[in-house]
Amino acid sequence: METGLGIGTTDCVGQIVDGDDGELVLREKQGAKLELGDLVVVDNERAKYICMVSKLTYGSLIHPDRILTSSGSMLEGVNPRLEFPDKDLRIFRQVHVKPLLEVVFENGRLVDRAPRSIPEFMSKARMASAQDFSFMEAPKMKVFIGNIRSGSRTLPVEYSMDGERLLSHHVLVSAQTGRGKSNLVKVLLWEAMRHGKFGVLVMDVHNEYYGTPASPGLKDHPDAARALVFYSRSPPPGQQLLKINLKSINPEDLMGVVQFSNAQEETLEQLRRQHGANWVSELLAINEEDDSFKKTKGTIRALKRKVCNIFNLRETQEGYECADGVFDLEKMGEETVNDMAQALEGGKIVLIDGSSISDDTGLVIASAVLRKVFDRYDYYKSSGILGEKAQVGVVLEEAPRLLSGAYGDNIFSRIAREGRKFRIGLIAITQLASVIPREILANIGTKVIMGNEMALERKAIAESAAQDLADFDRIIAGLEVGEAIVSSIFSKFPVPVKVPKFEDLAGRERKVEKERAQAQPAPAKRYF
Amino acid sequence: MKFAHMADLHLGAVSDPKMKGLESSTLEKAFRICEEKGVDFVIIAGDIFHINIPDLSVVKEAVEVFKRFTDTGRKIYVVYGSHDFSPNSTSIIDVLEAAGVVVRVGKPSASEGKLRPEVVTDEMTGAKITGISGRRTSLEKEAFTDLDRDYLKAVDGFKIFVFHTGLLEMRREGEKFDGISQSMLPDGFDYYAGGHIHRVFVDKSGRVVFPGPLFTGWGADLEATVLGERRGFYMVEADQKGKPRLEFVELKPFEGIHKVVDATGKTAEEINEELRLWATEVDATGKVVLLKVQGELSSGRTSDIEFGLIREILAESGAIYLHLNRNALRTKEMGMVTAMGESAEEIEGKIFKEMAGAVKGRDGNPVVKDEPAAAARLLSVLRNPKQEGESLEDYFARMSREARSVLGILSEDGSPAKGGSEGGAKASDERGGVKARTAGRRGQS
Repeated sequence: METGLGIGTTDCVGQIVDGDDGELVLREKQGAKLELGDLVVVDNERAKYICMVSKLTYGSLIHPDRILTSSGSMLEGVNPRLEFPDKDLRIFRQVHVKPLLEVVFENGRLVDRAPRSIPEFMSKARMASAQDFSFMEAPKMKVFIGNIRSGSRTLPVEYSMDGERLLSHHVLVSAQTGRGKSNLVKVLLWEAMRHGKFGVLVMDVHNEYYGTPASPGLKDHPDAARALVFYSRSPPPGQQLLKINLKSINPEDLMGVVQFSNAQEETLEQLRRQHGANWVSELLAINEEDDSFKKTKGTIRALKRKVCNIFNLRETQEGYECADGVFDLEKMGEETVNDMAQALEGGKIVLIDGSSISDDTGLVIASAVLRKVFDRYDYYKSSGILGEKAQVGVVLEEAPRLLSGAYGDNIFSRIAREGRKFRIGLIAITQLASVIPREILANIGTKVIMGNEMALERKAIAESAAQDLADFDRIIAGLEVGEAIVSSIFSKFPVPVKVPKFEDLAGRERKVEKERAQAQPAPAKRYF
Repeated sequence: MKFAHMADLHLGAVSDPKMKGLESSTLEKAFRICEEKGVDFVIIAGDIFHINIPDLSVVKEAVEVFKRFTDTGRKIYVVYGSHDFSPNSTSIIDVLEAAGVVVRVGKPSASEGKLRPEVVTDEMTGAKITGISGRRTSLEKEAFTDLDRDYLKAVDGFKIFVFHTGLLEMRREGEKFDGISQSMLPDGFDYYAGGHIHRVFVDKSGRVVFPGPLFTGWGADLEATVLGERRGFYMVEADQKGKPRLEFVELKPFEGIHKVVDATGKTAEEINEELRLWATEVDATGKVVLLKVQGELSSGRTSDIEFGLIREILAESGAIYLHLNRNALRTKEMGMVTAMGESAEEIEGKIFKEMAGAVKGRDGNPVVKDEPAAAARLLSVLRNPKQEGESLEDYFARMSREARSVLGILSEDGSPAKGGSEGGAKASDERGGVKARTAGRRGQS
């Protein structure tokens, strides 16, 4: 029968025998062996329903007493070969499925929507196939996230989201350690680099994104020269030296990231007002033993200590200097923060090797850069040209601490609240979504939910998801490495995906690029 | 060993005779000091000359100074700079090298797609010197990318790398220039002799050094010198191992006076009076004067200010040179115009229309008829780039001719320009002709 829905006859895995609009119950066909998370499709004449297996139970038409008696007989050896007559008919598995999506044929095209009805009673269900997702259209600025997954089976259907929407409305990646968070972020960045329209700031605390001669990384992207800039204390040739003049750091960049007492905050503010960009040098130059600092001696000392810790400054005979060379108190690196902001505005991934600096120091640098971007984008907004600028994002590894406002307001919580209006978004990564304030969680448009064994965290993320994930608890708990559920305000259903291994993704493209390079002889260069 | 590190001489950049004299005496002084201090060799990290084929009188003076030094058996090692390099024609540097006056280091050869700059050994000291020449618009960046670093690493001895490229990390806040990250410099050299950036800079390691120019007779560099920026070169002492010891030799090419006049809210006449009074009273004898007039005049035109007179007064009082900066001088009679449009042409058209009539001849009438159309044609002419093979002189002459033709004004010999608009020709007649001048060639690096 041709319905316009493109349904072919496939093996039936079950039949609807019960349920309501929130959950359907299938009697499973013997041998179908459905798993939690599997996608099944119920074909009706006017619509097809794509559902996800959310619960498996037993069903039996035999009286419970008789089952228990029979079990006892078998276990105790009274009658080890006892069998029920018509066993396949009378004993079965019940599959509880959550209707995710209704696909209808309207105006000559397939349209997906949230289920408004339920399938015919006794409708048969089959496993979902790639063809069932032919209604999905790749967005213009597509950012590939992974392949659609039915349980542990990966379908040859790519799931991509519109990069603009994805980044502007914030992304939360929630998972326990080892479930593939970093891999997912690498895949997202790799995909974003294709367009050269998304500026993403990444403080790479383990220096795992750029890549090494032995392992692939973002450096291997075909567009890396145009779309990636890498800052490190010891960069490879061609990349940038991480050298930041302390004049580029504002006390504001420290507040909300590092804990300060009220007196310390006031002193910082006073230093900023009096000395502007030279506030660090001026603070370090204060002789707290001087009588004029009698009352604030303790505060000045504590501030000096904190500032020295954050910027890794040590006192030498010639004055203060940065022990690891990242920060400069003299003439170097005055434009680094501006360069980073400019690169983000130009749609580049700005990768900072944070492996040799403390997490707090990395956040202070990120704060300085984002403050600059915010200021520029604020100006562009008022000038009416913000739309011409790249969508900017920041990968935030320590999301809960910063977004919870534990140390006060900061640029990251500001982005979470109002970044969308300025085309600046967060890619927040966390194991502990429950610590992030609810209003901020609710503001995050896309949640990529990966495996998490902590019930409290699953609950927090499910409650804030764009779709009702109340029945997904066990599915989320059972997600394997690289498996995820994407719940987004831009999607009509929570999409189960399998994120590819970054090495595979990059490896494929490297091979293609290598072949292309071999086919085209390198242009002759002329040196002088 | 002891060597001198200079850069950015930009010989021939100034046209004023007195400034030219200062330029050559500064060069002489620098080499005299080198001789007195007994340097073994001199490094010039690019931009010895301001253009690739400079005026021969400038070359002659420079060669005399260089020859005096090299005749003692010592060498001058150089790289091309962004100004004295030419991709299409011979540079004066090649001529000087052929004559044995200088040695260009880092001549390129390629091996397996990698650049191997030639390493020259200084016979007197054994120092190994190589480098990468500068090119226009920092095109040499590619050479840094392709550099065979292992090959350079394997070179032993006291190693000097000469380059004419700015380092991005040394930019001051708000300063824009294209360059390389310090990470692009090859590892393992004992001294990195930089050029191209017109200020003194030494990095924390004490090995990456920019001496800045010897002499600055133009624009922002002149202003910086007048305001106290050090000018000179580095004297470097080193043994085979250990950190080089640096001594900056300050040359103080001239004393300067810096005067800023804010014209905001004043009439052209009031400014004339103020400037006249100041020029008469200031002691400018033997000094370079930098006069900056900025702000918005309340009435009168910017051309009403008698800068010529000020120049005369200062010259009479013995000033070496007056550098005038009136870029930020405006008049209310030419206020800001806002125009919106779909294309650059549309916006330009609207601005021309808006501004039509703002500039008037002495009779109070516009100087050309149909000003918006004439302005659009003039802009089109001015967009015309220099043709390949065309000399700068020919280019300026052609531009002048075409601009005159558009405006319908007299050519320099007083003959009527051809092809001008009717109204334009009339206007020029009424004004008795306008003598067109081409702007002096002034670059920054």
